[in-house]
Amino acid sequence: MRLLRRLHDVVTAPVSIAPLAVARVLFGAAMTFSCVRFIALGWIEEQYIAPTWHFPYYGFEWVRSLGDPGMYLLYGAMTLAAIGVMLGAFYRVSIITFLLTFTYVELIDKTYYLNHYYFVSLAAALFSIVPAHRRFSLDVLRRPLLAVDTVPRWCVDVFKLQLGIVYVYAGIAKMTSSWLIDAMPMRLWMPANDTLPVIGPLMVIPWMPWVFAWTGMLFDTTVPFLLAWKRTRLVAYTAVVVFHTVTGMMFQIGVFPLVMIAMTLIFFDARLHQRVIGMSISAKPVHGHVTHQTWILRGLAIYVMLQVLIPWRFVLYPGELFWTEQGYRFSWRVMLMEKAGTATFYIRDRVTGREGAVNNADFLNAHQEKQMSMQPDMIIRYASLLHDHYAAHGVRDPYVRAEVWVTLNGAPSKLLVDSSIDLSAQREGFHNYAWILPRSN
Amino acid sequence: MIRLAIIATVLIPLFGCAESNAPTDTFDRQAMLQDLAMQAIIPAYMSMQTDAGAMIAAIDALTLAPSEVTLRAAREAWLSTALSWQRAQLFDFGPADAITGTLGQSVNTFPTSTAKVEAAIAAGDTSLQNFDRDARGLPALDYLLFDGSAAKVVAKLSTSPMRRAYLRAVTRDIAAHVQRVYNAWNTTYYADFVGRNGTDAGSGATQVFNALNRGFELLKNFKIGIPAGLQAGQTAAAPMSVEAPYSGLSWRLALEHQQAVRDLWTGRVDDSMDYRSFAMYILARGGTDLDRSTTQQFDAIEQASAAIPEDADLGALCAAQDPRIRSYYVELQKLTRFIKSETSSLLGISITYASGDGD
Repeated sequence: MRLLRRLHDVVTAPVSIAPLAVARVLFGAAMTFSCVRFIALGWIEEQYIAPTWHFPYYGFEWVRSLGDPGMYLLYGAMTLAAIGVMLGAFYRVSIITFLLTFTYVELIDKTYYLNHYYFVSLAAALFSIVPAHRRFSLDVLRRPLLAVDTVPRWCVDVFKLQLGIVYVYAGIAKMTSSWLIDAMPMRLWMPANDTLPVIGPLMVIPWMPWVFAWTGMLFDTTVPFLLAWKRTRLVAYTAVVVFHTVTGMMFQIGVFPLVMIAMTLIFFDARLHQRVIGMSISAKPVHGHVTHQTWILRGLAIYVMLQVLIPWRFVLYPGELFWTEQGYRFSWRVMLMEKAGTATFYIRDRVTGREGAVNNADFLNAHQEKQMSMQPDMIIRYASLLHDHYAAHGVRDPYVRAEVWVTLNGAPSKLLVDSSIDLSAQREGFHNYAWILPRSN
Repeated sequence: MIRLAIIATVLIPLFGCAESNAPTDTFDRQAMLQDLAMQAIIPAYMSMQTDAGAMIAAIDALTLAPSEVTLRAAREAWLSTALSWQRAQLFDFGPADAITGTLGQSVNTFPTSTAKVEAAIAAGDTSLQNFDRDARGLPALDYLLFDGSAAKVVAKLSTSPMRRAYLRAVTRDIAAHVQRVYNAWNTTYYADFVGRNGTDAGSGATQVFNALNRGFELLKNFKIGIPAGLQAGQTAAAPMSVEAPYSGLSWRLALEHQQAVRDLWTGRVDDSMDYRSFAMYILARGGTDLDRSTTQQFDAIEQASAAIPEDADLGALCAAQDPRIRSYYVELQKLTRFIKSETSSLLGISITYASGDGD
């Protein structure tokens, strides 16, 4: 109990609000950029309006694309909210609007699942419970009484903890023999990037994939600690910039490098942040308090526990994680494997026995087909959609089977799922999918 | 700590690579793009253009003086053009991917709608300024030149100036479309294409890779699968959905299509000449297994197709549910995973045409 009290005292001790305010501005700016980029690239149309079918998450099947103009309005609201977060204008409304709109869009279709989108949702959730707008914001300009000098320590440190979890788990995920000993899939990816400016020539050096693989693993597992420690901070941050710039050049990972380069600044000393935003703490600082703090802290404790546990849920499933992908998402497994599949679905009329092959391009865009062709939960979702479609188009009691050939890290393809069973009869859920074939079939 | 990390990153790979079998050959992707353009793409459009030009002359002669002699020449000119198209169709990207549709959609949408063709003729509408792509192109010519006996076709043409005008317009439309794409490749697009020598979604290698795969799917799904009634939801064969039902030359065209895919894959102009293409690329990346699987599967496809005589009527075989068609289709199906997912994985080429973020 005393320990708990002391912990409470530590996490609620007042610290400068400056790092939090700067993080808010940078997060808002990165999200504004991300939204504008998404809209400008025409991805709303391509990803959420043009496709007729989507792959929602289990339990979130009620989340639907809002179509045209709904999706544009949603993105408009999201962009305005991101600007609001950046400027600290109507902060609570802005950050909660951003959290909800952004997460809604991500839940529409798991085709587009990215670890950094997941990170954005989590960061937005954390931002929505901290008073990040009470300095260096339009809200303070409007109502100067809002301004505070300090916030409870947890308001700043929870972001460091979250970033630490992301990096450390990304590092742990790289501790596999294929990544470290075989340098796979680095050996596949690097030669494909041999035309990049500056780093291109590195890509064809035969031993370089091992350097990249080990550097990546060591960087991920250690960088949060090196950022937290004052003496190594500058070196660690330089490594952050270099690492994310290089991976940003090599892979199509959008704004992720930018987000990480911006967010890790929160590790820097408060005085630096204060200088940046021209803030000084008076002799009698105004302390910012968080209402319902005890409840929030209890909630955060559970949140952190879940964050630590969720990446390990894969151990509850049999089989090879990279092959079955049961428990793969939401675990900071970032750029770990080269996986691709060719999935051919066959629809059989149970009455006539006639069977025909599906042309996936009739129903899915290239991105959806690519993701579906190697992920079991998407495969049964697609099978069930095909079942309903063909049942409505004259096929009686359709039997949906599929030959799904998947290649992992450049190895010859193997069948991913039992090609004889009716996939449309399989149910999505957290249970083990017994119809996934072992990789060594 | 840092020092330790640095030492580890330097030392460990030294142990690692001692027994590695990582491919050491560097593959010049830009040279491959140059080869593809100079040895495959531009020659394909050039011969298509030459053939389309000869077809205009033959059709002009036919419409000027319809006779069985001029008709025979026109039919031969059509076949040459349709055979050339089997190669050019594999490059339906870049200048061939116009806002109004791809070159493939413009010149080879099948099955043709005879109703739309006849309606356009009856209306005397030779503008072709509409989206009825299934009323023009090579399939419309297949109908206009081959529907019925030579005598019947000649008779129809002789009595209808509007039919002759439409025939001329469709022929010129094909040539104009090809000309535009050929010119683009010969002027600005070549340098543009060769310059995009990466492997990202917009790169030249990705474009050819995806176009090749789409071209292959076209053969498998649309030229064989649908006519044979092997696609999902079909309750019967659809013999009139073959590429050229009136001339009965669909199988001949399919064989050429099949050969074009293999030649592009292996980088073959004729038996004596090789250029850098995907086969060489995957070998340079250590893909010996993949190269072997692909070669074996191409052989299996050729074996399955050899069971069907070159002059066979594909539509009739489909209608008769000939088992050789199904066997052929099954072999085609098996090739997909090699030339699509395994190749994209090994080469780090993007399967999606549009870019998107990944992680």
